Amino acid sequence: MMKKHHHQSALLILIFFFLTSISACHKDDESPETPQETPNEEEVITTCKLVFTDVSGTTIDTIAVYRDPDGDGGNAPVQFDTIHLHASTTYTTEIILLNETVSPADSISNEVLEESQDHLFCFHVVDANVSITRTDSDGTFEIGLQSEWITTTASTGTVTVTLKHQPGIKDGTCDPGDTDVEIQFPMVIVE
Amino acid sequence: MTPSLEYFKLKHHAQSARFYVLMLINVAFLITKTSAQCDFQINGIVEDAETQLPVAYAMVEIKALQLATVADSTGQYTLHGLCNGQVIITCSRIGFITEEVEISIPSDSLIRHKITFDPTFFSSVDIESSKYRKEAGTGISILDKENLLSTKGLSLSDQLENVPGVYGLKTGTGISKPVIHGLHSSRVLIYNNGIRHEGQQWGSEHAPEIDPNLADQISIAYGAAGLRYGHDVIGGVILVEPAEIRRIPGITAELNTSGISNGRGGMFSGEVQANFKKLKSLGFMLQGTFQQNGNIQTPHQYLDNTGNRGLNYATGINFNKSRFGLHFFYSIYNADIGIYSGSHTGNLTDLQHIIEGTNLPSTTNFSYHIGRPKQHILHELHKVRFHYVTGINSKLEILYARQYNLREEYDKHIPRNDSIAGLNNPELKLEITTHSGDVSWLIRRGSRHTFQTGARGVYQANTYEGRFVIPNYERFSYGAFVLYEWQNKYTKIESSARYDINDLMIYRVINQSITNKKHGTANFAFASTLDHKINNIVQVGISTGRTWRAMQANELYSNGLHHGAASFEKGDSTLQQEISWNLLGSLRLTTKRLRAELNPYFQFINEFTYLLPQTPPILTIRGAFPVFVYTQKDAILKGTDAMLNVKLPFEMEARLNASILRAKNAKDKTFISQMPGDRYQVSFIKHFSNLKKLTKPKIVVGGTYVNKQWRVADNNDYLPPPNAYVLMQAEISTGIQIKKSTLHISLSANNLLNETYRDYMNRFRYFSDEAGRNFTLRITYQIENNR
Repeated sequence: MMKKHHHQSALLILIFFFLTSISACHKDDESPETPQETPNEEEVITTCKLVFTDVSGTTIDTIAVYRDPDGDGGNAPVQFDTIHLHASTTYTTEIILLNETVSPADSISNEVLEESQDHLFCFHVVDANVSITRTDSDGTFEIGLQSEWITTTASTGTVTVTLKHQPGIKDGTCDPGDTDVEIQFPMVIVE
Repeated sequence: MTPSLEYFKLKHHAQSARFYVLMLINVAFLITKTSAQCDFQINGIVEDAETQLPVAYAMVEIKALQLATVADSTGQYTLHGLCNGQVIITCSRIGFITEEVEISIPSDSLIRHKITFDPTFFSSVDIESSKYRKEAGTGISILDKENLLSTKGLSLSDQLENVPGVYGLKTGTGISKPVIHGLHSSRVLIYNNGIRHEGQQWGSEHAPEIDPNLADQISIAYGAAGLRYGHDVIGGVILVEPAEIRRIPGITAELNTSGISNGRGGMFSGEVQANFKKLKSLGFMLQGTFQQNGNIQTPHQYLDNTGNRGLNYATGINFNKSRFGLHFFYSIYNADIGIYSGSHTGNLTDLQHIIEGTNLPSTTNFSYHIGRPKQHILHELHKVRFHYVTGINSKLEILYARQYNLREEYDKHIPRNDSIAGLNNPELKLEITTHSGDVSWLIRRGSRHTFQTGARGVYQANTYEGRFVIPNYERFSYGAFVLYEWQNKYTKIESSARYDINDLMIYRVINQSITNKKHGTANFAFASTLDHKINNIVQVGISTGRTWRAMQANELYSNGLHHGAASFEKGDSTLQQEISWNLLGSLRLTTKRLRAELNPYFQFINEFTYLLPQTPPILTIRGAFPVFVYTQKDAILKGTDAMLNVKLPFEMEARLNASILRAKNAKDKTFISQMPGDRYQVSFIKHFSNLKKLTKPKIVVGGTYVNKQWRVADNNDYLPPPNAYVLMQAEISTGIQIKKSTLHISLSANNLLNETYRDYMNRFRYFSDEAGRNFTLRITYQIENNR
């Protein structure tokens, strides 16, 4: 009699497993006919603005912009300025990063400031007579959202602005982490 | 309890009594034979017990008298020259259960033999149609249960790596997909449990979402030899077949466990099959696998975030009557796969730094934690199969399946915005739902002719959320095929042809409005295979065919950055279908001591689609990225798979295995990149005779040599292909027989010498070395209880 019961319970267990699983059904909630409006990669950086302010106030403030409103790929950048600065001048420079795929545009530089312990801007100058110093700090290391650019003589070259994402590995140098922004701006310094 | 025992005894006595009486009658019959009247005749008719219709050409025998005849086409027969007395008439027919009746002679009435269909006979037809073929032939390789024992716990693709002509295309240590004769992804079909597997197979970093523990046998059909399974078998088809649910009362259980040292991982898999005496027509199966591995170690370091975890589950039910059968099956595959964190690069400069070794991720320790970047994958299958025996040698099969595939890819970094980051959403979510219906009809004529025809319809919907990789689409496919097979003792010919229509409807948002575009393709395909046995030693074969493939959504529309490869991939919506012509030869020698196989192949692919580097690079806010565009060019792929198996003295055995491939553009004769390098494998096996309860104990020592793939296109890679390498492996294994159960234990070591190497077919060869030495302990326990 015991054995018979074993059979019945085994049979019931198997039927139970079978019925519960066959009724399980994962579903796609989206419909293929209605694709999402914008192919959004969360927090795309579309725009990088460098805002230069002459400390002495003798020359007009200047802005250099890299702007690719549809993000990576697609159309080429719509604006890619050359940095025009005056010789023998000291500028304070602010970097503004925007996501213009959303409306109103989202300020990524504010997010960078909030997570300043994880971010570092680096500047690499070639052939242009300018020295750049980061002037802000996350408490331990510099950030680079604010910087001081001191020009000397007239020259032509490039400045590469890089934003490194260094979560938990920031050590004040540009080596660790992944690159979020890397723009090589042409630069002209005139007398 | 006593009364029933008494009853059994009585019954036994009764049976013996009848037996003795029969014996006596027989003896008496023999003695009186000469004197008895022996000119009686009997008339009978053979009928199907279920339909009451006559069954033609059944064999009718009286074994004791060595008398036999065959019933005519109306099922009727006459037997002459019978003596008076009792006789047992045996009535047999292929496909029916043999039936015996006792008749007393003389008998004037028509004897009606009611015979019933043998369900097991048609199950053998079942297996043949679903498992392709039982034996390897031209264009077919088979991994049987015993072959699979030594690779339990590995992924499907890793299990196939010892099959000639099959390679693995890897993404780091946890993701691998099979490559047949240099072709992969949408050029290689996978059939899981009789259903065409529909996932996001276009992506090279998308491994097949299949639990190989369910497989009882894996077959590989190269190129057009698998045409019955689809028009797009350009590389071939892999058939993953579970054991058929048992049809005789009893329980079968199997438990598989394996533990690996590198990754400190474990796998537990169990399967139970049951059929109950009171419900013989019902069979059940239940199977599940749990797997967890931690960080993998190269000879020098742990690779950060290379663990993975999987939980799979399957259940099935079979209902079989003599003429029809109904089968339900459900399976779900769940996996979380960690991606080596050092492989995520922001831009080309980062990649350059990694290649130069100046920006390697900080050394990590062992961990089971799976963090970002990672993939979460789910694959669900519902299947219903119905078959009906339409005649003595024909069968109709109807199949419906629904598959749902979810793929979530998590980038290395969470969004900066805390509220978005808190959601921990994947940056990319792809969902694909597929409904497929198949109808096929199989007819056999005698032992020589088999005819099969069928039709297939598929509806597929694909959606994405998050980052754009491929657009939303709907796919409608229809097709029909015919197959004819002829065979005698020496020769086997198989020919098949099919016509398929494939309509792809793409939905995209362009300038704030939804735009759809239809890509319709239709074409025919055919294939023929000839196998001929010249004598007991030499067998030759040839397989040829034309197959084609419609362009996939990624080849037409992909437009995005690959974080791993730091490259930008672009589709081309004007691309046309790819058409392949292939030819495969086979020469087999079999003697007592030696088994050798040579399988040369040649394939011409018209409009072969591949990624071509393009200038100028694309400018993004993260700097310039190289651009690769899907381009078409005619290609020629040729190669040879060879195998040699020699029996040596002292129960030793040597095995050699070579896979060689050359791939070139047909016009300018330049090499095609991303093709596997030549591979040679050698192994020595020492068998031991069975010792007490130990069965088939053996020791295997082997080596694998993979040559440097220097045959690549110029200037389209960041790094030259890695150097050639040699790996050593060893295994010791035995079976243990314990009453009704079998235990199989093996201990194996891979990369025994802890070699530091990189493989050209691993997309992460820029970032890290391959895994170091690994020991695997495998235990398989099988128990069968028939009652």
